[in-house]
Amino acid sequence: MRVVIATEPLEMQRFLADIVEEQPGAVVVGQAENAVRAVTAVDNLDPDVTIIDSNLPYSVGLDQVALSRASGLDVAQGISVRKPGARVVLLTNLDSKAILERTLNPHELAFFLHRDGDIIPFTLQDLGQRGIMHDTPVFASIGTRPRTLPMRTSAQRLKRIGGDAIFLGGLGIIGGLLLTITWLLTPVGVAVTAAGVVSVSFGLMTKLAGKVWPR
Amino acid sequence: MSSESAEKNIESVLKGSLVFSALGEDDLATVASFATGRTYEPGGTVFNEGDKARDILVLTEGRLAVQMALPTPSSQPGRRITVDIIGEKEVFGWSALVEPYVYTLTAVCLQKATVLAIDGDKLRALLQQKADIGYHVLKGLAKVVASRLQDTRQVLISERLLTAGKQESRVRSRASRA
Repeated sequence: MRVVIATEPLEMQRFLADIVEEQPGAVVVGQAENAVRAVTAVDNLDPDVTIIDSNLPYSVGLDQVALSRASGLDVAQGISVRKPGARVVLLTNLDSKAILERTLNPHELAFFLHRDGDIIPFTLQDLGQRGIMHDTPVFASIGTRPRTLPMRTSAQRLKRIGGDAIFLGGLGIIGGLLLTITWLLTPVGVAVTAAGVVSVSFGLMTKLAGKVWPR
Repeated sequence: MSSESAEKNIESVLKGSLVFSALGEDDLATVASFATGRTYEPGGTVFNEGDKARDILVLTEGRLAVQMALPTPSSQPGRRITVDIIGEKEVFGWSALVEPYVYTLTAVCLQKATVLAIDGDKLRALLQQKADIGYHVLKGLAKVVASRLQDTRQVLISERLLTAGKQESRVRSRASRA
């Protein structure tokens, strides 16, 4: 799978390239630091997947001119319209400083989507094999969870709630049975206790009588 | 969450926004009573350029882009450019307070977003009744419009540089062919 990456900081380009090339069969064929170069790279290289930072400058600016850095969505939409078969991933939370300070290990990060309260991890292979997952472009976040940790879906959550309910229900049944058995055996217990009290009283009285009348 | 705590929550969001920060507690409560919460998925459109502007909005969670459509020949696909990225507690959709009450940009969610939509008709009626809060709100609104103008200026410069760069490369390639 041929991939083009578009983000301004060079270290983020390298970092994303590492994440991408962690996946079998994925090769980064081009990198761009602004909108103009991103569009040119996609036109010339015709990649299977393009990963675009939403904070992408339009073009190379002059030092004294403040340029807009909001062209990521525009580039993603433009590619999606011009190349309907292209897969475009728009990274919506790429705070390069925060990510780079947190970790430089691509193993610890993954792409994921938030949908209906669920976090859905996905790979470039998902994007290439299953087609458009959410919309065109795919709006994705870079997660900071270890990839090995399972991320829960609704079905998984329901399964866990079911397991908890069965466990608590089992404890309730055992406790209830113990209480019921105790309640059923109450008359026998009272009778045995009464017999014991009578026996102890009789024994004490016999001993007392022995002391009072020794012969 | 009880309706009272939900209303307090709305008031705290309004208090944190540039447009409503100068309002007192009673006025904030009144404005909060005009507001309803809405949620949008990534890629969802909050409003489109040219829509009737019914609500002024405050972003409570997420990020969204405001875009303008570029006129293109009918044979070519439409193109949109992002003028600004809206962050939490920022106000957008100011057209609901200014005639002709038509949104001038399109708002697209970059992330899952929750917004407070404040009924424009009710808010305008309140601002007419109470001139003092009307002044504070319109002063905040002017800052929002000025900020959007500044962002549009940056986009214009960027586009001009882009066009100039393209023309220059075309001239160079023609010269090298000649």
